Amino acid sequence: MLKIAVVLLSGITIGALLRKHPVSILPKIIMVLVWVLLFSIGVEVGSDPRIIGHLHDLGLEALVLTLAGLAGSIGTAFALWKYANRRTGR
Amino acid sequence: MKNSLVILLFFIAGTAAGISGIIPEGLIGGGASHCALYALMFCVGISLGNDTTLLRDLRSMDPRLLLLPLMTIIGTLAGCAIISICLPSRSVFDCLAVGSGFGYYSLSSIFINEYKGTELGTVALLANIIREIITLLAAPLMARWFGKLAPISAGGATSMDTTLPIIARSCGDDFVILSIFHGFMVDFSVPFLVTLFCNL
Repeated sequence: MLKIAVVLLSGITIGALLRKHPVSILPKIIMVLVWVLLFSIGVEVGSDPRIIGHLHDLGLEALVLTLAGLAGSIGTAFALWKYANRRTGR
Repeated sequence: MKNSLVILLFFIAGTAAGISGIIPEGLIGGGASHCALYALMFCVGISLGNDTTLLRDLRSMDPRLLLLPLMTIIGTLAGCAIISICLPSRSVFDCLAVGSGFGYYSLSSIFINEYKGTELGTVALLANIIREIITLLAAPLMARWFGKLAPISAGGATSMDTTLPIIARSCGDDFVILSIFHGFMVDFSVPFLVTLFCNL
């Protein structure tokens, strides 16, 4: 948690120092890092027999709970979006 | 959409590699993915610092949007409480504990493993990984259909790290600061809410 914040803040500092020389290749690097991250999450899931062995029954339960939570939070976010846009008249 | 499919392919390839066991033991379980996450955060930081309009955007941001973390927490918990009716094998507090991971699968599943056993811990791990994956895949559609706050809310605790790049792509750079603020606030709530619901 703290490490993540430190890494983020040092990136922001360096980015601010480089303002006169924008790093245009950055979006591509970020995309590749997202691929690496998803691949390694996949490896962690695939190599854990506790998860793979129970995917069929526990997975369905997890999916149902996730969809319910997502639907609820997207609903409240949509309500806030509507409320904020109406009041500011955007 | 093409980007999301590529991302999903990488996840499936990773899972296949994990099952086949071709990845050396030492690389599994944090090392590589932590390094990638830190590198990602560092790059996101550089792009934030590089952007001269961000500070101005933060000052001009509608203060009501700062309620978003609260909306995410209320919406997620309400959804999980309602759906618990359809899951007779789980109590409403079990469902709320799983939901309060908000995508932060490592921490929430560790807590739930400890308090409620491996089975619910695994459900929590899967549910929160699925939340992250769905957000990564569907963020552009959520932004189009339900407004630009929806992908941030869907990302939950991950809106400040793993799902931040896709949120920035789908909602625009104006929402990056809100997304990070949202991630921080939801993140801090995870240990408290998970232990609360495990003890009820």
